[in-house]
Amino acid sequence: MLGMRPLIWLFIVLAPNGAWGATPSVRVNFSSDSRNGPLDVSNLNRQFRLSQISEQVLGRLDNLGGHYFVESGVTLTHPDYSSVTLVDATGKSRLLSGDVRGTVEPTAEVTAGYAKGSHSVQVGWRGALTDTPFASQLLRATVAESFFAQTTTLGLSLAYLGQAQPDSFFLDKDFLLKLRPNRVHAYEANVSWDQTLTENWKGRLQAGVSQRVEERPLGLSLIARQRVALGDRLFAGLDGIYAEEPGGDLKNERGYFQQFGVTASISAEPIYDFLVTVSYGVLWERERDPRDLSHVQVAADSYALALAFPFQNLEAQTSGRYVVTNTGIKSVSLTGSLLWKL
Amino acid sequence: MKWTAAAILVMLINGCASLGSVDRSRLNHPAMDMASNRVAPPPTFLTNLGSIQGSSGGNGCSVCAH
Repeated sequence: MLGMRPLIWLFIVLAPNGAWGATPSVRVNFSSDSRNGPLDVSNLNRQFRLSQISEQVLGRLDNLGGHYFVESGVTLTHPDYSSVTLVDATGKSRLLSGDVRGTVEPTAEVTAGYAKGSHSVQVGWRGALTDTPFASQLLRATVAESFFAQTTTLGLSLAYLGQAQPDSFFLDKDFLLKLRPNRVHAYEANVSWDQTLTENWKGRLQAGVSQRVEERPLGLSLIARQRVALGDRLFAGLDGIYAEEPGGDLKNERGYFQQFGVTASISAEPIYDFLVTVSYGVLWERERDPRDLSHVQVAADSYALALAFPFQNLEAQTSGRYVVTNTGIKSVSLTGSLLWKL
Repeated sequence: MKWTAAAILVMLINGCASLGSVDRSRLNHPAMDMASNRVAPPPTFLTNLGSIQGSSGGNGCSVCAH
């Protein structure tokens, strides 16, 4: 975190209040994730335990020239590779954490956008700043257009990813050792439709296609979200997701994936601007492999609590989430966020 | 059939256009925001669907069952 101080001061110096009519802000995010349980669904005795934290500082200038914004920042991740197994050409396995220990992985990102009336466009880049085992570069572009006094919004988002992977072999279905790709390219395209339905109800439908080209078959997804105001201070949400790989070449030892999830949430505002959200979700994941007729299912219950509260020109958010699966994996995540409007 | 579809389309457009005058105080409340998740979506443990970045949780391996 200390390494981010120069970045914060640089942003404060370069973003004086009122420059080009801009509105500067700084956001500091923190997240931690720890989980333990059986590593492999086919061998529940093989346990793992991992813990990862990351810190992020983002500087943002809104209303640049009236309609533009730019945001940039750095994320420091303390990865835990103690559950990642690498296999060499002789079939001998070792943990990646034996090769990479005690590192901090910095990632930078820049996003710029334009919004005027019913039109908005934004482009962004995020990439690793050092040579890490899974270093990646991500490019993303989003376009949205609103209609009917902004009660209908159609959006299109495109993403391209290039990611490194350490050398590792896997045993294919013919019991031959094969090298995994050490460079993966991936793309994702989503179209979305946001619709105001009444003065208390709105929804979103999103359909997507994505693929990690060297590893996986094509994946399709459909997401439906609804938000309902039950009163001035009470709100409900219901989100559903369905995703699957319908077919195509299987490029490694894994079968076709399928996913179905539902999350329900209630948000209340007991005092002005202080928002409390509780949610419960269940996610079913399935893998079927026609080569050996295997079929595996893992289901997870997810319980979450989130708080958001502004204080003068600061806005704080925090959340916690507990997830437990039918295979005994337990996961606890904590996040914190502080937005400072300068 | 074409006329039915056209009529439905006109009704839909008319319905959406009439929503332009509704009171948006509740619709614009932060709790109604579609774009941001107040709580991050749950991690996946078996598949890596939904993320081209690979599986979550720091293990980095997108095709491992962990």
